[in-house]
Amino acid sequence: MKKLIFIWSMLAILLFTACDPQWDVNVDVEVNNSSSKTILVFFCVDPNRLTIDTIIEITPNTIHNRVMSFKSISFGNPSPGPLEFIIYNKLDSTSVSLKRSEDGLYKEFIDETTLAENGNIFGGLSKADLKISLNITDSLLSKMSKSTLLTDSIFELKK
Amino acid sequence: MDIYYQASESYLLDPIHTIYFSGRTKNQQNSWDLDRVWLWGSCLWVQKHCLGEQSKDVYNATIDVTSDAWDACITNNAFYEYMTVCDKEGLTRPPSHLQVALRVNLSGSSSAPLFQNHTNTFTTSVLAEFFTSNFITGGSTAPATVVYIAFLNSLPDILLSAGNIEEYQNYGYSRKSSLNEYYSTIWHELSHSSNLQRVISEKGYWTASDFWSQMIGTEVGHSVASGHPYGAKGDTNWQQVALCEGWAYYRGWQMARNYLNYTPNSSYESSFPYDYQDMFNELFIKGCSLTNMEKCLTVKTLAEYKSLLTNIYSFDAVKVTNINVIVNKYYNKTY
Repeated sequence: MKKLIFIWSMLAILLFTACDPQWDVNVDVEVNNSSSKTILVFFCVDPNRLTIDTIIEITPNTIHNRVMSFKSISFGNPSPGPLEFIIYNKLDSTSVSLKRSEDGLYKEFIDETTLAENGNIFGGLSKADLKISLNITDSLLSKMSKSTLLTDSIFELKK
Repeated sequence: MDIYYQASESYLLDPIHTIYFSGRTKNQQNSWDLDRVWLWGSCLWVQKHCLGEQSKDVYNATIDVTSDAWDACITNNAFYEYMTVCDKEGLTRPPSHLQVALRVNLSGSSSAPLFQNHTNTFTTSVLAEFFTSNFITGGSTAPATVVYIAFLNSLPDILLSAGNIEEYQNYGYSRKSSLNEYYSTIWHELSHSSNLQRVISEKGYWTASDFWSQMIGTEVGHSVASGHPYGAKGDTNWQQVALCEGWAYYRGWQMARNYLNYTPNSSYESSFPYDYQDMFNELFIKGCSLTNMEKCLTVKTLAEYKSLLTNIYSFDAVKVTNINVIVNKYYNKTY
């Protein structure tokens, strides 16, 4: 048995060499609305995928846990992939867009937490659970502006 | 695509056809063999695509998109395209022959250990211990050495998971996007192999072996410790990881963008070492050529890299300033 473990250990070392793992990622999204406004949030997951999007109403001064869950696959490090959030205020038709990417606008309002990880030592899919938190603050809402084209295409037609 | 062949000899018995996936560039400078493995790691477990026994008179075989032979064809094409792009963009081709382990029907990781093209002082020392152990020889060293050498000769340069093409579709990707991600991954790994070849060309075989062994040793160490091969900024040898992985991600991104009109997901990432792909992108935008950026990828620290690159452009004060600003910015970047 020890010899078998040793063989597999050696093979594992081969697998790891200069390895770029592939991750199967479960992503939960929560929204922490510390502002005093009720807003709509449009979520769009990963532009390379068949569109996964949804619109959720977020009440003020509330943490909304698991407003959305989805699966992602990533190369290198566990990642939810590109995400876009659009926050919309129905009362004055203003909105602001946030993107999770290197040059993403207002990405400082998006937090990521790794809940669990399970690396696959034999080259198969590694697994991870991530939590994405969208922090809606008065500071973020102050950046909202009117974009009729945007709000018509997303919030009006998709209602 | 239809392929026809006619044999001048007649068969007495029904033949068995087997497809071997081997590629070669037009000028014969580069070749590669795809060895299809069921078990990760070693090409000792080689499987070719056998079409089985057929009639000796006439036979039609169809390889459809669900066949793992189709995945091997795609992989072969991606290799060929890579060589073509290297020539077009003035980049170094990989070592002249690559042994590629193609993991069929299974999704998972990819890597470029480049076993056949450098002396991996990190892994071979561990494996030598294994193969001279009593497990193989019952105490005799000589047979173990023979087996050990045979084993080393069987190890691959590039490991790929063709099953990822199907796997990505399980996550909502279209087949086209899945193929594009797979292509980008192959080009990432081939960029590593070109990097090694460039170090061999610039500094010789043994310096290149040390260079790549250290890279492998670093990523193996991180994998064993945390499951993350890249580690974090500030870890031992993080700058070589930043340079080598940053470059490979940059090439996988730019080639996908330029030749597939596709932006791979990894290009959106901003964590270590993904962000160093943006460093190369900024250097390119400021006028550094791909050839020169690759030529300088023979060192393990950002300071050395910056020094080599500024020396090349020493005649251009503006460019030197830009290089210093960009590399320093990424060196000092915090997370």
